[in-house]
Amino acid sequence: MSRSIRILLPLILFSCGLLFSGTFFPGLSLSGPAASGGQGLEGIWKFLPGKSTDIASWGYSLPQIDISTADGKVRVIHDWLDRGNVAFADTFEFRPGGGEVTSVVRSEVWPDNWYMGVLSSPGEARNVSGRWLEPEKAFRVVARQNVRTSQGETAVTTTRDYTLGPEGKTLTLTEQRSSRPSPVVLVFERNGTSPRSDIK
Amino acid sequence: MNARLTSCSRLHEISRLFFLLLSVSLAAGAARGGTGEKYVMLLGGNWEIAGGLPSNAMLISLQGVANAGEPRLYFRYPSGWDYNFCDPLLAYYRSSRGMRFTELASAAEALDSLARYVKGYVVWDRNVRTSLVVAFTAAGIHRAVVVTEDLIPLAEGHGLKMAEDFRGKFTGWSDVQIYEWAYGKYWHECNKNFLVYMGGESGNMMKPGIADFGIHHRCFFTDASTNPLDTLEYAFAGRLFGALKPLSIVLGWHSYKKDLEAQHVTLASHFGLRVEGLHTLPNMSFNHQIPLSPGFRFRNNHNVREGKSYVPEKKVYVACIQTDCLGLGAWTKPGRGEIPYAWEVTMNWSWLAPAMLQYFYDMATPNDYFIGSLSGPGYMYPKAVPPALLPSVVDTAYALMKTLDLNIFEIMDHSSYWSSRGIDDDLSKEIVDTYFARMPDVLGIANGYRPAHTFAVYGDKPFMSYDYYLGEKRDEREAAADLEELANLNPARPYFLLMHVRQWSDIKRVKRILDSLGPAFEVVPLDLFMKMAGRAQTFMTRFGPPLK
Repeated sequence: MSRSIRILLPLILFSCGLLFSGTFFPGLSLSGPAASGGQGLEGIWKFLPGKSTDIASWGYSLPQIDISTADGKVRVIHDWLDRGNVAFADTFEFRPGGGEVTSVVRSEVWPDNWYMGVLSSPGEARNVSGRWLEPEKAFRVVARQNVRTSQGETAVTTTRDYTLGPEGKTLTLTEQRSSRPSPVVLVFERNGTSPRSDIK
Repeated sequence: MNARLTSCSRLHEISRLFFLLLSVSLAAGAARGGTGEKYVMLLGGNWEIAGGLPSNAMLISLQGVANAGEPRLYFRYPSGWDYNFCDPLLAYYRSSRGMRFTELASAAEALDSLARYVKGYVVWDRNVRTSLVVAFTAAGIHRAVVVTEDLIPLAEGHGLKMAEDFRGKFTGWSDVQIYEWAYGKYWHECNKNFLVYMGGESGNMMKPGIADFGIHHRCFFTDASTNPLDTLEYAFAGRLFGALKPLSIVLGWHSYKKDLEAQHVTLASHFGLRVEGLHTLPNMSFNHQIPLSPGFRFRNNHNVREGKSYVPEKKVYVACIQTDCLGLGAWTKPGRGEIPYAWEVTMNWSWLAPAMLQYFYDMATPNDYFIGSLSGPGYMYPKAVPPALLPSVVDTAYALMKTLDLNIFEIMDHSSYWSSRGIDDDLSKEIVDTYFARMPDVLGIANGYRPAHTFAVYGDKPFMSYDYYLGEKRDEREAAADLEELANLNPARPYFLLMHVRQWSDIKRVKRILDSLGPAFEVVPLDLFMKMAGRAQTFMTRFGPPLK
C-alpha cells in the first residue's frame, strides 16, 4: 500500500460509511434511521382493513407489503396472504429516479380486484418506474400494463404512492388507476423487518 | 356416437318417466286427503347438540314420518335460518289453498297429535355426532323418530317402542367406519333416487332442515368427505354416488368442515348426479305433497316480443342476476320489483315442491324475471360431467325450462376452481356448443359466479359471462367505482355488463349502487340484455381450453 493511500485511508472509510448510511445518496437506502432503529420505509407492513378502503382482493386474500433495497434499487413486494400464507406475490423493482424497468407478466391473476372481470395478460410487458416524493418518507411507483377485459385488451397505468406515517409506525398506500374514478387508500402498520432486505 | 346418443336419449326418457311417476304420486297424495288436519309449529333457534338440537331433530324426524301419505306438519323456522320464506309460504298456503293449521307449542304436543303415525324411536348418541346422521337413515327405514337418551321417556310416554339404540355403539369409530356399517345395514332398503348429505355446520351443532324429506323417502344419509385427500371417505362417497343412476338427486349439502362445495359438486357431477341444496331446505316432506293450483301454468315475465327489433344505443347496459336460488336471500326483502332483476330458479322444485315454486311465480312482479339454472337439471359442473352424459343432462334441464317458461339458462363450473386461483370458470367450445345445440329456443346463456371470461355468439344468441360480482359486503361507493371502472376498461359502446348479485344483497342496496352511476348506464331486463348483446356484439369471442 502506498504512503498516500495509507494517509487517505481513514477519509475513504469515513466516506464509505456515509455512503452506505444513505447520507450522501438517500436514494440508495430507505432505511436511514432504520439502520439502527427500523423506522424507515423498509420492512414488512401489515394491512389494517378498518382504516383502509374496502377491497375485493383475489380469493379474499389480505395484502402485506414488504419493502427492501438492494444494489441501489427499491423492491416492493405486494404479498397476498391467504390464512397467513402467501398465495400470490406481485413484485415491483426500480431504481429511484431511473428509467422504466420492464418485466414480463407471468400470471393471469390481477390481484387488485377479484369482483371485476379483469385479468392480467401473461407474456406481456409491465413497465415500472419510481421516484422519491420525499426522501426516506415517501416514494411513487408508476406501473403500465395491459389487462384483459370482456372487450379485449386495454392499457392501465397505476400510480402508487407509499408514504410513511408519523413516527414511522404506519404506511399509507394511495393507489390511483387510470381507469378508476377514485383512489384506493390502504393503510398498514409495521410488522417487522424484511427478510428480503440486503441492508439491515 | 350413435350408441352414445341412444344411451343419452334412453337416460332422458327414463328421467322423464321418473318425473311423471313422481307427478302422479303427488296428484295421488293430494287426492288421498290433502284436506286433512294440519299442524304448524315454531322450531327453537338453538341447534347445538347440548342445547336444542335433540328436540328439533326429533320434531323434524316426526315431520318426515307423520307427513307420509298426506302433508300434516309444517314448521316455521326461526329468524336467521338460511331459507326465509317459511312464514310467507305458510300464509300463501292458507290464502291460496285454504289450509287451516292447528298450532303446536311443544314437542309433547306434537307427539300428542302425531305419534299415531310413528312406529318407534331410534336413540342417537350425543357423544357421537355422526350417530344422528345414521339415526336419520334408520328413522326412515323404521318410520321412527330420533331421540337422545333424555327424550326416551317422552317417546315411550306416547307409546313408541325402541327400534334402534346407538348409545355407545359407535364410540371410538371413525366417520367412515360408521358410514360403512350403516351402508351394510340399510343401503339395500334405501331409496336409490335420492341421497341426503347431512353436511353444513359441523362440530357441536347440526341444522338438519332437509332431514324430514330424507326420512319421508327412506333415503341414506351421510356427510362423507368428497375431498380427494380424505382418501377413505372420498372412496366411500364415490361408492355411494356410483350406486345411484345418473341424474339422481344428491340432496342437502357438503360438510363445511370436511370438504369444499366445489369438490362435492365435482364428484357428484362425475357420476352425472344433480346436487340440490341445501341441508337447511325446510318442510320438503310437506311442500312435496302440495300440487299446483288446478289449471296453473308457470308463466315468466318476458320482455322480448317475437318479431320486434331491439337496437341498442351507445350505452352501458347492466343486467342483474340473483344467484344461489330462490328463497335464500332477497326475495322476501324490501325492494323487489323496483328494478329489473333476474332470479335463478331451482328448477327441480317444479316436481319436488310444485306449490312452493308456484308461490314464487305468483308473487313475482313484472320486474322479476326467472332463468333456468344451474348448469343442468340441478347444480352440476359440465366440465366434470362425463361427455357421454352431458347431452342428457342438457336435455333434462331444457325440458324443465320448457315447463317453467324459461328461455335463459345459467351455467357455473368450479370443477377446477380451487386449484386454479379462481380464474377457471371458463368453458370449452365443445361444451358451449352442446348447450346451444340442445337448447334451441334460448335467448342466451349466462356463465360464472365471480367474473368469468367465456364469451361467444351463436347466431344471434349470446353466451355471456359475468363481468362483475357484487358481494354482499362490498362497500356501496366502491361497488359503484368498480362498475364505472369496468365501463372505462371496456370502452366500446354498447357495453354489456352482466352482474351477479350474491343472494344476501337486498335489492334496495343494489338499486342505490346502480342509481349512483351516470346516465350512460342503463339497467335492463336480462332477456332484453341478451337480445341486444346477441345483435351488437362488442365483446371478444373467447372460450376456455378444450377438455382434456
